[in-house]
Amino acid sequence: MRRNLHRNRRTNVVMQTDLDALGARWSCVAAGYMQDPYIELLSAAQSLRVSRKLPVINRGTFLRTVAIDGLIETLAQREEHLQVVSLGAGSDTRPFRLLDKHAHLTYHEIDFKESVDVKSRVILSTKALRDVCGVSEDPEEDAQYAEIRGSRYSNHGLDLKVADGRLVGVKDVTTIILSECCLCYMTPDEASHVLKWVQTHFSDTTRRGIVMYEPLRGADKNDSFARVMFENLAIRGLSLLTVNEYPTTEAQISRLQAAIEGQSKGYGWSMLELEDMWNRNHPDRQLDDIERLDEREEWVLLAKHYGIFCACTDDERFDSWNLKT
Amino acid sequence: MSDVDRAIEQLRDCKLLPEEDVQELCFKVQEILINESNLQLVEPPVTICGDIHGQFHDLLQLFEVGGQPPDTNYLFLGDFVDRGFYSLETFLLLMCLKIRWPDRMTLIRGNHESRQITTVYGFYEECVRKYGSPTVWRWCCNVFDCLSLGALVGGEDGVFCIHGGLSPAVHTIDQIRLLDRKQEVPHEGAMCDLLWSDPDDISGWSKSPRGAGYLFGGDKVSEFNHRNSVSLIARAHQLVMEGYKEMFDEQIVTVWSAPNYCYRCGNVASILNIGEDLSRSYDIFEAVLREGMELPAKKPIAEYFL
Repeated sequence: MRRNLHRNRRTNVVMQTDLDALGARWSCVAAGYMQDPYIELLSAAQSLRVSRKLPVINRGTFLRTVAIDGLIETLAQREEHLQVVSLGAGSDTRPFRLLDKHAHLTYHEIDFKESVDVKSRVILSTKALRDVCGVSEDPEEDAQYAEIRGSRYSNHGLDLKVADGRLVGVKDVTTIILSECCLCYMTPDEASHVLKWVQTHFSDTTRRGIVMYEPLRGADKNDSFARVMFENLAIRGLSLLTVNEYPTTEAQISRLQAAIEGQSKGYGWSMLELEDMWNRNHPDRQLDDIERLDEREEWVLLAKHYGIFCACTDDERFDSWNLKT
Repeated sequence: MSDVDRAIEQLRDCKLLPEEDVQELCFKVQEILINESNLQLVEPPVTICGDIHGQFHDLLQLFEVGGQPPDTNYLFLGDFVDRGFYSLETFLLLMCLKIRWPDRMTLIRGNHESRQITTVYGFYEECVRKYGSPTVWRWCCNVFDCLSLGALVGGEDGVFCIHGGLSPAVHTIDQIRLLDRKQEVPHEGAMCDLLWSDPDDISGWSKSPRGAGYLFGGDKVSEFNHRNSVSLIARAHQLVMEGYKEMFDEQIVTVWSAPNYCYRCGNVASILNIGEDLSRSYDIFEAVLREGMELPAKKPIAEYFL
């Protein structure tokens, strides 16, 4: 019983982080970084009290969003059938935005049952979302089901930490497994279990990649920014349980490569590198032109401590992930 | 006990003052500040402090470390407000100390003492949240417009004190005395540069990534110090994890006085003690424990990307 209570509290605080991420995306859209036709719907569904965030939070949210979009889209443009399996998807609007743009994309989202319930209700009650997800049934009849089983979008309510068996509808086709600040709240063993379990859906020869976005401690185990981050998050009841196990970009990459099993390639970029790449690739839309930072120092600290890490089967289709830093 | 003493006592307990008292204090301090010159002359010994940014509890800790006013002569390099949760208490306390001991408390302007910046980085919102309207923010902004731009500690071979740094438009200290400072911080020109510029490992001048002010090299620091017979430029404006950083053969120093900046950065803070003989010593201090800080329990102390 005690154990259960403990687990519920941990689950609740982790689920709360979804609202932080949603609020940050709302702010990013409000500040003019990007457009997101679905953000208001999801914010309303969560009764989110929205507010403008500081420019550093907007910049980081934007870079993370466009970088992950980009990694998925370079493949979606080329693959006959690309499948995304998103772990701890929460209120992410990415499936709707990308399904809209890419006809050969299908999407599976996994999260706690409560999160899936909320999202399913939004989808069923909104014609635009039903259309984009390929939910053809009459919403009245469908309403009794907590999970969506559309032709292009499905969601699955379960606790990833103890996941087993097969997810309904996940096909053995080219797949990107996505984890945005999800595995970092699990113990190293739980996180390894999740990555292993997802792999069981695919045969060895199936093209697949993992994209992960997470905080980084850095090589120095006494890193003072990281120490304060752990303390501050602990006040909210959040523990980053894998950061000491995988403290650097290199450690994160090799962890993911190990999870892919067999011949693989790995890539990774800190948010600071992603910023530099964005500015080099978008001379007409410099980040400072969207929203200027009044100082660099705090941003540099923050941006060094987050990154995107990838591993993929050794296949030239994934060469587009080899972004030039 | 005077009204100001009472206000100081109340503020030290981190309690806000009634709106009408704030108005009166703002008027009083404006009268004092407006009669000060653009460049205040300060006699050493003096303790120079960098950015505070609304970290009120850390300001109290700073006084513990450096000595209580008026026992210690203080010079604050600006950026009293924004980012921290207690910009109002911080600025009001500094204002009261200035009114009570005007000759032992020198306040100069930072780039955050500006209408435009405070609407983005928290002070405006804090005023509205704590007083229910932007009135107090407006009064404070009028005080900002009266703050001196810099200070000069000691005579020959003294210390030039400024929030940001140098300007290509300012060759001599006398040129600063001629500026019309009683205005919102402009987007360009000498006054803007003095509050926004940063030293960097370059030669000459370069565009600042902040979008205001310049980056200036060691050559410019040497030229300026030589031309104006100063031995040191003391400035703030940039987070330094170690609390302070001397550059270019100790001709310029960055002093940072907000420990664990934004409750997130994990840095230590420092203050610079300038002795009667213009000797330098630094005191380093850390953030105080959050005990007694009135933070909404469920609100994150600092935001992260979750």
